[in-house]
Amino acid sequence: MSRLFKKTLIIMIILFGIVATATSALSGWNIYKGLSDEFEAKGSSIALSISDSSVDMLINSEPATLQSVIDQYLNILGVAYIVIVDSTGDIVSHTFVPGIPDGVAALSERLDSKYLNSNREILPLTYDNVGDFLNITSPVLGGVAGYVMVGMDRGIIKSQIISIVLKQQVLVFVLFILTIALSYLLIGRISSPLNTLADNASKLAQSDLSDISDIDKLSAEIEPIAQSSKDEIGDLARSFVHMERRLSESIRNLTETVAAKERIEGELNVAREIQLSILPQKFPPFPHVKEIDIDAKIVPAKEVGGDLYDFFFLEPEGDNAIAELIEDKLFIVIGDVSGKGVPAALFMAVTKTLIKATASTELSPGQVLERVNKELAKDNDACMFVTLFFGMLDIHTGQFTYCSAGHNPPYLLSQDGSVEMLDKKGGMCLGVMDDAEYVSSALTLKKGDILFLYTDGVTEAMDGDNNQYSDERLDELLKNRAVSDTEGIINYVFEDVQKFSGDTPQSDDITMLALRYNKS
Amino acid sequence: MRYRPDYMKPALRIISVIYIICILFSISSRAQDHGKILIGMSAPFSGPSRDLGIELYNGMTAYLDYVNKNGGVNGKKIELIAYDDGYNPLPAINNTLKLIDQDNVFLLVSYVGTPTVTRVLPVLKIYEDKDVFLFFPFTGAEPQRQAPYKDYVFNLRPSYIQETAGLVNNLVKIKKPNIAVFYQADAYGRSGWDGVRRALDKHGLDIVAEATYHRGAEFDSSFSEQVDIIKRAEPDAVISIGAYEASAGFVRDAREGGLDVPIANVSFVGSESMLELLLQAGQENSKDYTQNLINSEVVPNYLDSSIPAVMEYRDLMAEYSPRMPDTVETGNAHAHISENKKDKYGFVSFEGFLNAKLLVEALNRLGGELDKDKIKRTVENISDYDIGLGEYVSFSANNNQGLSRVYYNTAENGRYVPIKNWSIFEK
Repeated sequence: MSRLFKKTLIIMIILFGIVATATSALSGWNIYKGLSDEFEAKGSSIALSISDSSVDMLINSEPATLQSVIDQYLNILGVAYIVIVDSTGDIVSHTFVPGIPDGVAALSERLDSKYLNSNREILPLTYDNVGDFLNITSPVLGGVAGYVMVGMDRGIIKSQIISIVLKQQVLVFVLFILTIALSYLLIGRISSPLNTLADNASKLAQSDLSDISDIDKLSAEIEPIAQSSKDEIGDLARSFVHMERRLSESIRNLTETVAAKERIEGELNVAREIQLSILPQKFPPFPHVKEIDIDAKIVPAKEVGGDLYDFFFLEPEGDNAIAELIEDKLFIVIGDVSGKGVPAALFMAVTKTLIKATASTELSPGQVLERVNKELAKDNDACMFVTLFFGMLDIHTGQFTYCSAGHNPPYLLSQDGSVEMLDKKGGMCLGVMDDAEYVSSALTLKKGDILFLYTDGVTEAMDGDNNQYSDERLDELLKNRAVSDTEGIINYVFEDVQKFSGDTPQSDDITMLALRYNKS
Repeated sequence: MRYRPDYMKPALRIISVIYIICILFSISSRAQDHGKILIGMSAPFSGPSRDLGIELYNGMTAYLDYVNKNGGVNGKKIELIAYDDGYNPLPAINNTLKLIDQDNVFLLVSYVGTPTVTRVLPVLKIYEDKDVFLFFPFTGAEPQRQAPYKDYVFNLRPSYIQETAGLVNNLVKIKKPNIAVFYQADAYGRSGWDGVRRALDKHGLDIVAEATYHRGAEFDSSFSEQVDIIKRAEPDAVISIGAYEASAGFVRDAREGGLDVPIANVSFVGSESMLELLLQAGQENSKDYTQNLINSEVVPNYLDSSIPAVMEYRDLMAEYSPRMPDTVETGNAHAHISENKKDKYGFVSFEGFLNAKLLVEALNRLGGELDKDKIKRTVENISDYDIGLGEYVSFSANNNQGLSRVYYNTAENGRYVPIKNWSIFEK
């Protein structure tokens, strides 16, 4: 049974209950009123007719004849008893079996000659174990000859009411059954497509939605309803078909998008591979060069940026290919290419290669950057650029010349604990203007000094509330440092940045490079 | 238990059979003379009072057969047409109309019952100009002894007033003044009740309790309600105005209910039938229900061989085999001659015999002309006719009742014996 039918059934039961109760009450009341009036009229006329005809018999004292007269009236429907009382108040004839109820005896006792009531008297009476009666007393000869009492059985009214109400209930019940059957058929016709739709929806809900053909199959199931029904159910079915088609379409789109995304992620992985493979990963890079310690760390963002770092000694020129590195001058680079992804990675690779190719002991860092800038700015249709810090350390003297092309100025962390930001001057970022000029600066490192280089991935790291890590925080952190080795300082900063960002996804590469000068 | 359906069904069936028979016989029987005197009877041959009709009929036919065999009355044979009314007023009225209009009977005789006869009386008044008289109805009620109907009826038996007065007087005499009445709720019961009331009134007494039952109640019905009502009044005796099935049932339930006072029944009860039922029930329950019973009778005990009429009756009955009227469907389970009677004598058939004997005497006196106009005068002229009872039958213009003596019997060893001394009920 459909739930729709159950609800309808309950409503119908209630409605029919109301109808049955109302009609029963109404007809019960009607029958009661009608029969009561009829019984009163009937009883009165019987009483009158007996009292008129029994004058002689009463006067002549003929109880047997009186009895045969009143016996005839007992056949009339509703007449329960007849009593004839003579002028002395004695009952001379009655029809009671097995005996006269006490109530009637009491009623008759007052009907002596003194009572003398020439009017008809109508009293409703109830005798225990006998029944409900309407007692009609009619005087004979104005009461001088006696009285006639006729009892009309009101129980008959009750049983008539019960019988008619019962018949009515049977009729209502038959109608009820017919209506139920009819509505069962009707609701079946309505609810079967609804059930199909409901089944369809729950199947849809249970399907894993991965297979579009399943959904297409589902929408095909209800297609006939959508086409054949012109009513609201048809509308609903059409909406279902529409929805399932849209769903199928969306899933198809989604699948395509996911595929595309996977492709892009593959691309990003390429970029990351380019980035990581191009940057030196071996630490310590020059274990035999005791004058310096170098350490670097790059943590690429999910979507790879174009951070780069490098450190190298120049390779000898000409045919002396297998000669040792010229380990007098150490070059260090850190930079950040604008943009993200493969283009940025490629631009970074180009920049790194250009730097390494251009670097020379003959040229100041500024001059190197001028040349590199020229190369990068040339044919730079994509308008990419890179901020870069480039420095050269004479490992014997501690002389450090450098130039910053729009890059965050590194910190000099002295042995005595002081922290100093390097000179900002240099030039604009590389790749924008081919004739840009770059000015070099210089300083001398003392034993134990550490140069700390970083990209804006550090200072612009975000926490959950979109606050940046900031230069001030880095400044403060470095001042409070407790470590003096390169790896320690990098980890120290990185841990603090991580702590700051918490769960916030990393939006840019974080790159740090630390150089410690060990010679006194 | 024997099958006893609602009385109306057999009554209707019987009426239809009667109707067909009437049509068949109307041509042949229309002529009153041609050597036949048709007389009509309506009585119960079915239902709980059927034994009364059957016995009365057989008592009559026993005598009529004898008369017819010996040449009839003035050379004419007497033919008795009897119809069944089941002891109900409406069939009794219909039977009477049929007997008068279709069978064209000369007179009506031996009707049974007060409620039936009371309702037939107006019919006789309507047919006044046809001079239809009812002879010797088997009822002691007053209506046919009083104006306006006494002119159409001749009674042989004493009235219920006489019977009940005799019972009351005897009971009061043995210091049993607290008398209750058990009676049939109809004109018969009312007659007896009225008789008891009048008799008590003469002693300054009143009925101490009364209980009724519906006419047609059977022996198997329970009468304990009635017993309870009466027992509450602690009566010294009960006078029962009933038919044999109900009266026997009442006696049984009274004795079962611890009401052991004398219970007196009147002649109409059908004494032998009542006694038979009580003996049967007593045998089944291993009890004696026949103690302390009084029956008033309007004829002497049929065992009293000192009475000439008894001897004549017994002689006739000895040769006679009981039968059912040919208008009554025989073979019908509820219209048969009671087969469990000890012998074929009884108060009722004795009364039937006496009815027939007096009727024949009246017809003889009427002479061969069968002049209806003369019936009334002829019967009223009967005076001091010796019917064989030692009591003479007399009628007059003011007296339409032939006999007045009431006889009292009690049950002893399964049969009725005359009460010689009422003191046996004193205790």
